[in-house]
Amino acid sequence: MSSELVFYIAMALFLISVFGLFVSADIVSVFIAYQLMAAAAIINFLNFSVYMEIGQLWIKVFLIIGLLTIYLMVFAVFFYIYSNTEMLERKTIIKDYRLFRLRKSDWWGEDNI
Amino acid sequence: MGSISDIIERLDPYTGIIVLAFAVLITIFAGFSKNNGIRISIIIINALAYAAAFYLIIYSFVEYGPRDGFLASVSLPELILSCIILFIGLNVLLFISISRFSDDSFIRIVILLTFSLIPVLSLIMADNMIFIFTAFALAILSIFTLISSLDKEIAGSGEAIGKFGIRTILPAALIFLGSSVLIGAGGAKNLSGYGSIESAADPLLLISAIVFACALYLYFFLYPFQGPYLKMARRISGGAVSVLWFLYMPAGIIMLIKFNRFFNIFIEENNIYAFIIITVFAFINLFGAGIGAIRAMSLKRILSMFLLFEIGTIVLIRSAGSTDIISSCFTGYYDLTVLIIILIVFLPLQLLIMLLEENTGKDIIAGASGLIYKNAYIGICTIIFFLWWIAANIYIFPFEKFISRSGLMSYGPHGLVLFIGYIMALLLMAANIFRVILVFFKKLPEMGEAKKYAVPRIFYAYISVFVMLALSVLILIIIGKMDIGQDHIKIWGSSFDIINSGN
Repeated sequence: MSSELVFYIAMALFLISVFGLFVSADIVSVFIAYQLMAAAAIINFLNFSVYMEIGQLWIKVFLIIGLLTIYLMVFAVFFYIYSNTEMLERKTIIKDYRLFRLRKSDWWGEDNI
Repeated sequence: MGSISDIIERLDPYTGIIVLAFAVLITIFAGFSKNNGIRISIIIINALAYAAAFYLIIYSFVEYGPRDGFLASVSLPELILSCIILFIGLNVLLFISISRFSDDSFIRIVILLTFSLIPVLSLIMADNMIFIFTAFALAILSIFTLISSLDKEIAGSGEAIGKFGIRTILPAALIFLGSSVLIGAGGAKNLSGYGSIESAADPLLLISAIVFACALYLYFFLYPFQGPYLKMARRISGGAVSVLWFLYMPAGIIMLIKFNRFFNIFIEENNIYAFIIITVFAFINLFGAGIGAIRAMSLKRILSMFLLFEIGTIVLIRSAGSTDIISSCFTGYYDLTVLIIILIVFLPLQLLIMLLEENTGKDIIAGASGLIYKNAYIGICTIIFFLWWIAANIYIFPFEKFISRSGLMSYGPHGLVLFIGYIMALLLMAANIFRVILVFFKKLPEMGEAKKYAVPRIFYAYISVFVMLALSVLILIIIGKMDIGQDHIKIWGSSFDIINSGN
């Protein structure tokens, strides 16, 4: 398989993840989209590491540290949602998250709290 | 003495970070103490640690000069940014001490604050892509943890903070993906390895630049992705707002300054499509913030819009950089100026919000009615800040070029669009400020005898320092002793080229 084709596959994964982020309202789908984005990055890293002179070790270190930090962030947010919010609030976050929302309260005037 | 200098030299440029790490270590021993004496001593220890880090960073730079290593590089811009971040840390510590001193988890909050300064300082000096990414992601993580700890007991903020947290993962994930594509474009380990205009022809480099730009755009919660930021800013307490405005936003500006040279490869191409896209997004932000602030009733929300407007000017400066109005090399210089403007104006205004919340129990703008009668000094200072802010925004954008040169068309249709659009956005923002000032003078019939707000003396001292700072800058510019140009700051005849000093 050529390097170019692998790169296209990685970018396709990335585009699917972006589509998922815009379309889904469920937090689980959003996190799956983040996983796809991370998977695309992993494929790119490994793909380019074969051909680049930069040093395999440097790329592997970046890959491991990058993945660890992203998973740490995901874990921290999940932990916050499950430990610090009431059941009702939690349901709102889990089922009602959108990356882009064209709501009047966000653009024009006050949101009711 | 010699051995101390030797230790500092060995630790350079990480001395400031190590001092902060020691402060965290000492603070951990205080645990969850409810003793007021211990809490005060913890505040003092951490404030001293910030001051010591401040001193050591300057001392190391003066003594050993700029450093350029495998992981980090330190030159004058990094020194200035480090000092700004430590100054912010000191201010946020003050805000948190005022608002959360009696909280059971106060010491934990102080630990998290000092801990979150460490990745931000690391981000400033980071030069290697691994270090930049890790510091950026850890800065986001620690700031999120700090905000969520500050507002743990406040009802209604949980949902907003949760959604904010989910969104903050996205910029980090995008930077990670962008870095993976960047490696394919040439294999350099740091961003300065991609500094030539010839690199712009590489499609991989272009893809990574677009991904990085999207990451930073989403990081700042700019329009039309502003929802979680605005909702959270309205719901969280004053201490958490100060973390959001003065740690989260500056960390993004620092990241932007890091990526400037990389973005400039594409901006310098003067591509018409790039100009159109950047300009459209810049105006969506400027007008979105202006229109949103008109109807908003919450003071926090209004100031959040104002802050988005200020970040929008950063986007507009990129747009101006893609034409001949300003040189794209100096966009980082404008970012630094915008950061300083945010600090001079918004730090004291944040204190005003906390003061109003304390006195009225709510942060709606109606709570500020008759402020000028209730506390004339604070009211006048606030008006000075607002007017200074508008004046500073007019001053930093290169208006004089349109006026002093052959006319409005001297930069072609691109320049004219930016000029007219920015003037209209500024007028909208001025209308917002006028509305807020009118409320200060509004005397409600039920007010009767104006009851003075209870203001601690430290508030007066704090606000006075910032007023003097703002006025001194204004006076120096008016009498011609200070000039903030496109590529330099000139004070009393001495010129400083900050951004290019390290190159």
